[in-house]
Amino acid sequence: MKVIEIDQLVQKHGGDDSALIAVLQDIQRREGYLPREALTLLSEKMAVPLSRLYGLATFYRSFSLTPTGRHRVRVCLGTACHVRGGQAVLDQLGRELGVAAGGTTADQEFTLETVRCLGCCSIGPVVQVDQETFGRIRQDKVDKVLRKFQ
Amino acid sequence: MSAPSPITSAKDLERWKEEGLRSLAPNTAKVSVGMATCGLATGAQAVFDVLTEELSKASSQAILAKTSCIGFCQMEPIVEVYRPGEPRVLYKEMTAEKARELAADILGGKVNKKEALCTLDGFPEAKAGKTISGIPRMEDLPFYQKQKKIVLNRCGRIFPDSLAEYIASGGYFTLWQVLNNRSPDQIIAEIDLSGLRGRGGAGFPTGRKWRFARDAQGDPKYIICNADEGDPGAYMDRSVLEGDPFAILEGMAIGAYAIGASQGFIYVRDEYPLAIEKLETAVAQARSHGLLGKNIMGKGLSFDLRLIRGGGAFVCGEETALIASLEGRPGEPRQRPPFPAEKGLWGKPTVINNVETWANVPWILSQGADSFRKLGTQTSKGSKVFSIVGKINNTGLIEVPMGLKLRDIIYDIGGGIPDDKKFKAIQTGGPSGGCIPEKLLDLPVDYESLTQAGAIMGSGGMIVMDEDTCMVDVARYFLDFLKEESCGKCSPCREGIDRALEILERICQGKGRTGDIETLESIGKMMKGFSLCALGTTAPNPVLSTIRYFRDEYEAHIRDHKCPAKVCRELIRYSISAKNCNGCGACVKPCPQEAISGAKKKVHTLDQSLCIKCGMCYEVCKFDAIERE
Repeated sequence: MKVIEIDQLVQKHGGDDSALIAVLQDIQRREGYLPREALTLLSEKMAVPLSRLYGLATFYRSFSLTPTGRHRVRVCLGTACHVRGGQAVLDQLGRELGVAAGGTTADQEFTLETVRCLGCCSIGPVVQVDQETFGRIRQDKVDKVLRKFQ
Repeated sequence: MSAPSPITSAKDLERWKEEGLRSLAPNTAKVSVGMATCGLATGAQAVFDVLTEELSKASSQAILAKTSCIGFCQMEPIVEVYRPGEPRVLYKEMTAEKARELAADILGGKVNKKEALCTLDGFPEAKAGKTISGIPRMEDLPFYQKQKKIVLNRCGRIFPDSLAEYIASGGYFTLWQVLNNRSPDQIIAEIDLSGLRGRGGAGFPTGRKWRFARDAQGDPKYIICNADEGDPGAYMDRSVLEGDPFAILEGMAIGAYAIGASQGFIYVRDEYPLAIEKLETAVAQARSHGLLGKNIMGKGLSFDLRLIRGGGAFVCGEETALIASLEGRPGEPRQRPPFPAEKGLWGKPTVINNVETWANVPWILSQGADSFRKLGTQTSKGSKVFSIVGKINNTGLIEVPMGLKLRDIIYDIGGGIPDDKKFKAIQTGGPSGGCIPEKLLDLPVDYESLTQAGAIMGSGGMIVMDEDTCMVDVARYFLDFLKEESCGKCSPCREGIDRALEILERICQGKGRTGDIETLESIGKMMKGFSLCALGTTAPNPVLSTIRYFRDEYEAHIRDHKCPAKVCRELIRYSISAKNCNGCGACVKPCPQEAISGAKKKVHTLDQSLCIKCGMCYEVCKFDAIERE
């Protein structure tokens, strides 16, 4: 990312320290992760230590310091989904994609993540791929969901 | 009426109300599709698309609209059909094909009874409507019968983006009345008298909090809406934000007036994209029409707010952690006192309240504190929104007067446990809460009763568990969750959770030791006494409450290496029943370990040395031939 883009993001969110997280979120959305170079530029722009940005990036779950796949597959492990077999759905997705939770497939297509409650508890177990949410998933139905994105 | 033009008089409000009423009850048929997150996740878009196609055919004058969640999530996708002068009808479990049939019936002037869930009153004027034989009324459905809707009143009944429909159903009349006729002190007194307690979980008296902030020194003062609904299983706030966003804006404007604040924030968790979208739309319109910003309604109040997205951290639901996050720091709670009402955001007096608390404010001020006090118990006034999920027939969102019995919620409203399974426990209060067993189901739902039973009210998530749920696994699950979410700042929480989780994992793997239960209790006591914030002090609750009521399950795991509910993988065994297996082979391919083999139509065998207990064979077998013990 270029200096001017960082500038614009900072301005867009009000320019002060409370903008930091929002700026990081925009970078995450645009790049799919937080590149070190972008963080360095932001650190210079906002006059905050890089370590502080590193602290924010590793504290909050929505950030990744490594590139994520084209599609983010999030399996809900909220209580209601857990009680209805969410873990089994996660395990099956892990087997289908060949990655552990948190990992990205070798072809950079899919990142598998867990999330603790998407707020769709009535229709659990729930899986969210990018912006689409799928309810009532069973472990023997996960391949159908993945096929939509392959 | 969408060109920017401020609303500055009663006449303006009346004009908007007329427009809204025309929209809510037009003189032609209108079909509303529930398109909040649950609806969309179960196929509402396809239903909407088919209805768009069918209802736009030449002969039709029917209007198609979008609404939000009406609470009965089990039945999503839900569609409401309105015909002038006739009872409205709700349709359940809609699909594209059913939508096509429904459209045909509507265009043909017929009432489709096959897929109907119930008839319901008009909105906003709920006239005791006519009925249709063969279709029950909403108030006669067990799911809705005991409910008392205050906060959820507009959800599923209006188009959430529509300011006109909000105003037509009473919106902004309260703010108008407040700014014209009442002083900040009167507002605070009314909220105090109502007995409203914070709905986020702590249950602190709202009026008292506002009073502290009003009296505190410091300028500017801030108002925050905590929409970081993190308890797994709870989605009440999401539904209000998606279904009635203007209620939050109006509530916050009233709060700003009461305490003297000019700047507000709504902190919404990142995992709620639709809620954020709905809020952005509402805020933009509120600004256009002088309901947010400088000189609100021409009455001198200046108040605006920013929408902030959470970064994905459960602990940011804790008020001081949320404030830290707003200040651009990691969400680490801090010592209190001083409380945010005295020294909050940027060290200034800050009122931070939950979504549901804000949504109650306009109703209380319009209907009066006494109307609110009439509901509920001695110490817990008003109504509360709960999500009932898990092993329950009627999953969804309900709003009931405080004091209703747990038994009524589970069996009357919830319709009991599916598949004839036996109820085991109801978990309330999220990771800070506890599990309540069958023998305590006659407890009234209020703050004190639930706390005494070893749980908490929390934000309102109620997760029903049955005989197939392992209570030791539940305790382990919550600690696993909290281990990731603990901010790590204080040792009692950080280390306590780690050690307790280690013990629970050993127990679930069949490596429990005598003395483990006592150690868990001791760790729990330590955390309760010394953690910095409520995440730490309440983290022991799931463990302690399951030990209190389900000690026998712990002992079975530790002493006998058995999991009575057959959940803990290291302690269960799958095998093929020679009696039931007909050799269909349906389980062979799904097995990730290729552990099952056999000739066609002959009893198959499962190689135990390869089995990883994933349960796939159990799921796919249609002949009950897989045994799990």
